[in-house]
Amino acid sequence: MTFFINIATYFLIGVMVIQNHLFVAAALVLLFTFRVGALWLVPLAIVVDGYFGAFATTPVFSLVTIVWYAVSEFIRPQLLLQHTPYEQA
Amino acid sequence: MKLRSRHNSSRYNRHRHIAKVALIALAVVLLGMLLPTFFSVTGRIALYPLHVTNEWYRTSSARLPMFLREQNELITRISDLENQLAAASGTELTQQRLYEENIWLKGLLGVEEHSRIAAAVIARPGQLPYDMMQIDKGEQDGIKVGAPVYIGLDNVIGVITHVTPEYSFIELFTTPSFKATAFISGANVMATIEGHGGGVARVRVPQGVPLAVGNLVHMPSIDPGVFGRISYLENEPSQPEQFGYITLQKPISGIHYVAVARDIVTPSQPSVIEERVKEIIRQTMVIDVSALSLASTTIIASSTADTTSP
Repeated sequence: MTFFINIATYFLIGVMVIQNHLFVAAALVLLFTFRVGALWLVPLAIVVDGYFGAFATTPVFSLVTIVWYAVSEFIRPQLLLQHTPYEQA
Repeated sequence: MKLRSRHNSSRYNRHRHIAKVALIALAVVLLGMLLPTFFSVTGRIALYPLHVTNEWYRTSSARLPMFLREQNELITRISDLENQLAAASGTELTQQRLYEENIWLKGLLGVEEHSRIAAAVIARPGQLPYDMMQIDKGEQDGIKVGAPVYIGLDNVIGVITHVTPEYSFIELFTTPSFKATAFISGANVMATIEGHGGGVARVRVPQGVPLAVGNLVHMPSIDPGVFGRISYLENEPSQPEQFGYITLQKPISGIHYVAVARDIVTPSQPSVIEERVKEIIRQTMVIDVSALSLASTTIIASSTADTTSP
C-alpha cells in the first residue's frame, strides 16, 4: 500500500509541476522526501526541465532538486527518529 | 574509541555517497545543456501521458474536466462578487455618512426642513388622460398651482396644474404639447423639451451637437431639477435635427408617492438660469481627487481662471 502511495505521490508531483501548482508540488516534494528520499526526484526534475525545454537556458528544477537532495540527505537522519541499520552503525 | 571511529567512518562514507550522486546528477544536467534538443525530446516523450492528461483537463468538453473547470471559475466568481459586495457596503456607508452630514449642515444653516408635501397618487394614466396624475393632497395641505413635483430628492417629473381643497392634478413633463427649457449635461446645450405622451419626452437639437444616450436632462428653472436621462437617440444624418428621447426614471404605473414642493415655479431670470447651468457644469467637472492626483491641479486651475475672469 505504502509503495503505491509513494508512486502516486511521485506522479502527482510531476502533474502539479506541469499544471504550475508549484506550492502543492513543493508540499508533495516535502512529503515524498521524508517518506522515500529526494534521490528519485532528480530524474523527475531532469525530465520536467526537458519537457519545458529549460536545458536551452538554465535547468532550474534540476539544479534546485540536486541542492535539495544534498540538503535533505544531510538533515534527514537528524529528523527521522527511526534510523536504518546502516545509519545506526 | 573503536565504535566512535567506526561511526565517523560510516558518516564519511555516507557524505561521500551523497557527494558522488550529486556530482553525477550535475554531470547529467551539464550534458543536458550540451544536448538540449535530445533532452527536450526525451522529456516530452517521458511526460507524454501527463501532457495528455493536462490537455484533457484544460480543453476537454467531457463532464469531469468541465465540472472541475467550472468549479474553479465559480469559486473565482464568488470571490469577485464577495469583494464587490464588500466595496458596495463601503459605498453605502459613505452615502449614509454624507446624507447625515448634509442634514446636519442644513440644520446648522437654518434651512427649513419639510419644504415638500408628501402625497399619494390616487389616479394615473389609464384612469386619467395622458399624462396626468391625481394626488390626495390639495389646497388644505398647502399645495399650490405651479409647484414642482418630485419622485426623489431632485428628480422632478411635473408641475401641479389644478388644485381643489382636497386633491390636485399633476401635469407630467411627458404630457403632449408640454414645453419647457432644459439643459442637457454632457452635450452642454440648452434645448426645448417637449412632451411626447406615454411617459416619454423628447429634446430636439441640431445635427453636430454631441448628444448621447445617458446624458442627464436638467430643468434649470426648477431647483433642484433633474428630469432624467436620454434613453434613446434618433439621429438621421440627412435630417437637420436629431432627437433625444427621455423616459421617466420610474414607470408611471410604479409611482405611488410623490413630493410636492411648497414653493411654486416662478419664471426665472436668464441670469439665474445661466448661473444654475454653470453650477451643473461645475458639478460634472468635480472628480474623485484621491483616485487621480492630477485632477487637483485641473480643478485649482479652473477655479483660478473663474476668479480671475472679469
